[in-house]
Amino acid sequence: MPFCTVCGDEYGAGASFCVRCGTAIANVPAASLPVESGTRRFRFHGTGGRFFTLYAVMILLSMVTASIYSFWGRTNIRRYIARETELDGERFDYHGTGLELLLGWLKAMGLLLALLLVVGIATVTLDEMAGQVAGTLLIYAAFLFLMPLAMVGAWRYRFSRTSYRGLRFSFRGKPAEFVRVYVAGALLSFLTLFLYTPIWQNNIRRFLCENTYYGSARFGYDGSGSALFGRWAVCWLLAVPTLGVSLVWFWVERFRFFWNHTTFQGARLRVDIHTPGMVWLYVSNFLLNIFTLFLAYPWTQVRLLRYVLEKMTLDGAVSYERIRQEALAAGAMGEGFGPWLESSGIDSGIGL
Amino acid sequence: MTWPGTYFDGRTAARHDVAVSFGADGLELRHAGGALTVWPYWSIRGTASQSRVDLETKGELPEKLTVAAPGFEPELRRQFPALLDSGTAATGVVLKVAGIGFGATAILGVALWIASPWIGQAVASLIPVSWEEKLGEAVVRALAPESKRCKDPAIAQKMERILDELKQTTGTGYRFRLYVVDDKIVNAFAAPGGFIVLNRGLIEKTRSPEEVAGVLAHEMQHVVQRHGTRAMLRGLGIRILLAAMIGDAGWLYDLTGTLGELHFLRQDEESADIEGMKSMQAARLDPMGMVELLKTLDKEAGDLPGAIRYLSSHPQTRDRIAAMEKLARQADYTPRRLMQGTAWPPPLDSCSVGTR
Repeated sequence: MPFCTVCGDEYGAGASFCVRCGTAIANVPAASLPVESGTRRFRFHGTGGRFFTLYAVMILLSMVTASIYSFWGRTNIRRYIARETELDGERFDYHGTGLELLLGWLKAMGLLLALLLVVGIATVTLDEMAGQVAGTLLIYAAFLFLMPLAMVGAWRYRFSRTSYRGLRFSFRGKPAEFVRVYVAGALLSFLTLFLYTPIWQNNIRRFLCENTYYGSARFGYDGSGSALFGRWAVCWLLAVPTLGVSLVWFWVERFRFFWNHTTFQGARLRVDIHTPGMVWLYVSNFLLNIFTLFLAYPWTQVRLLRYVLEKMTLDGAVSYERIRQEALAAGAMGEGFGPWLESSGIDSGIGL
Repeated sequence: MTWPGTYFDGRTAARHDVAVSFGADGLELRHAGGALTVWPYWSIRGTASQSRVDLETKGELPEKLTVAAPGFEPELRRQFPALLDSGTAATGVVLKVAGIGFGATAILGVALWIASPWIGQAVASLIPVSWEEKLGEAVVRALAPESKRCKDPAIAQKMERILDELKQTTGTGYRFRLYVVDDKIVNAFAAPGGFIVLNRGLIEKTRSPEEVAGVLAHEMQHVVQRHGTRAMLRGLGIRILLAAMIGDAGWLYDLTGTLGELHFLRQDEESADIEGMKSMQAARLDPMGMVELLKTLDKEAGDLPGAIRYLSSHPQTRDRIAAMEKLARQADYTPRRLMQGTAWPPPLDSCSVGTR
C-alpha cells in the first residue's frame, strides 16, 4: 500500500498526486522503500525509585525557590518518562527546557492579569449589579475561549519537544479552528443537556489526532461520534441499576475507543485494557497513596504507565524510511495555563 | 575494537545498524553497506544509563546513536571523560538553578517591597475621583452600614458643622460625607472618595468641638492624599503576587476582603498630621485641639487595653504628640471658638434610640 512521503496519507494505486496535501506522486520512488508490517510493542522501563528522586528534588527545590524550580523539575520528569518509554525497540526523547516553561508561564500570567484588570475596572466603574454581572460574564467567556487556546498551545509545545528515532513530533492544528470546534461543542452540549457531550469529545479527539504529525507523517482518526454516543447512552441508561459502575465502564471504554481509532500510515494503535483491570489499578493506587501519605505516589505513577503502555501496540504497515524530519518551533505559553485549566493531564502520559 | 549500535540520521525515521569504533578524527560509524559516518569528538554529547549509551550530535536536530553493548561506556569514559553528562554535573545544574531561582525571588521580593509605595502612589494618582467614591462607598457599606449609624440626625449635623469649617481650607475636588456610628469603640477612619466615619465612642472622649476638628482635619488629609486608595492597591498587588506564586485565581472574588483591612503607612500618618495641622491653622481653629484628644487617649490607654483602636492604628503616640505640640505653638493668631455655649460632648444617648 503506497503512502505519501509528505503527509503520510495512504493513496490509491495509479494516483498522480496525494489527495490530502497535493504532493505529486510521480516524484516518489515508492517501490524502492521498504514497508515493515507487524505488531510493535510499547514498554515502560522507568522505576519508582528513580521517579521518587525526581519528585523529591522537585518538591524540595520548589519550596526554597518560591516554586520557580518546579518548571525544571517538571521538565526532568517528562524527559525521564519519554526516555524510559520504548516502542518497537527504540526510546522516545524529550527536548523541552525549564526556561521555556517558565517563560510560557510568565506570558500566560501576563495575559491573565490583563484580563483580571479589565474585569476589575468593569466591576468598579459600572453599577454595583451591572458591574458584577458583566465581570462574571466576562470571566466565563474568557475562560471558554482561553481553555481551547491553552490546549492547542500545550499540544503544540509538547509534541514539538518530543522525538522518536531522531524525528520530532509536531502539532499543526490552527488555534482558531480548535476554538470553533471547542466552543461550539461546549455550547451545544449545554443546550442539549449534555446529550451532545460524547460527540463533542469525539470531535476534540479527532482534531487532536488529525493535526498531529510524526516527522512528515500525519496521524489519523476514524472514531465516529455516533458510535461513542451509543456507548455513552448505554452507560447512562444502566447508571441507576448498576449503581454508577457503568460510568466507570464508559470511562475505560472511551479511553479504549480513542486509542483504538487512532491510525498511523497503514497501522493502528491498540490498547487492550479492560474495566476490572483499570478499576483495580486505580483503587489500589488510591489506597497505596492514602496509606503512605502519598509517599508511594511515584510508584503508583509507574504502575499506571506500565499497565497502560504494556497493553498498547501499533499494528500494521509502517514505512520508517518515508517519514522525513519536519520539526516546528512552538512556545510554551499554552502550558502556562496548566494549573488553572488542567490541560496537562498529559504529564502521566495517559491523558492523550 | 568495534561495538554494535543503532544510528538515526535525523532526516528520516529509518534505523541503520552500524559498527562503532574510536577513530583518529572522531567516532566512526560503519554502515552495513560499507558507508562511513564520522562524528568529530567535539560535536558529540550524550548520557549513559544501565550500560546503555545514548549519543547525539550537538545542534537543533541531532543525529542519534545508541550503543547497548557492554564495555563501550567504560571505554568512552576512559578516552573522553567529559563527553557524557554525569550525575554530578546534573546535581551542579540543579544547585545552580536553585541558587538563581532563590536569588531572583529574593531580589524581586525586596524590589517590590521597596517600590510598592511608589507604585501605589503612581497608580493611585491615575484613578479618577469617581472610582474612589465607588470604592469608598463599598468600604462604608461594609464597616459602617446603615443599621449601625447614629439614629439622631442632630448629632451628625453638629459634626458636619465642624467639618464645614475645615472644608474651606482643604480645597479639593472631593465631596466630603460624614457618618456617625453608634459604637462604643474609640475609633474614626476615612475611606477613599471623601467618606469619614466617626464612632460615638470617640466623640464621647472629646472635651471640645476643636478636638473633633483635629480628628476630622487628620482624616480629611487621608482622603485628599489618597492614602486609602494606595493602601488598597498595595494589598491588591500583594494578593496578585501571591496568586501568581501559588496559582490561585480565587482571590478575585475576595476583593471585598481587601476593603476591610486598610493599613496606612507611617509616613502617611505623619503627612496627615502635618497637613491636617496646617488646615486647622488656616481655618483659624485652636491647633491644640489636635493634641488634647491624643493626650487624653494616651493617658487612658493603660486603663483600657485593646479598647482604643484609634491609638493602636496610630503608633508612636508620644512622638506624635510632641511633634504636633511644636507645630501648634507656631500659631500666631487668636483662635475662633466653635459652638460657644454648647455643652461638650453633646448628649449621645439619642444615638441608640430605636435599637433598644
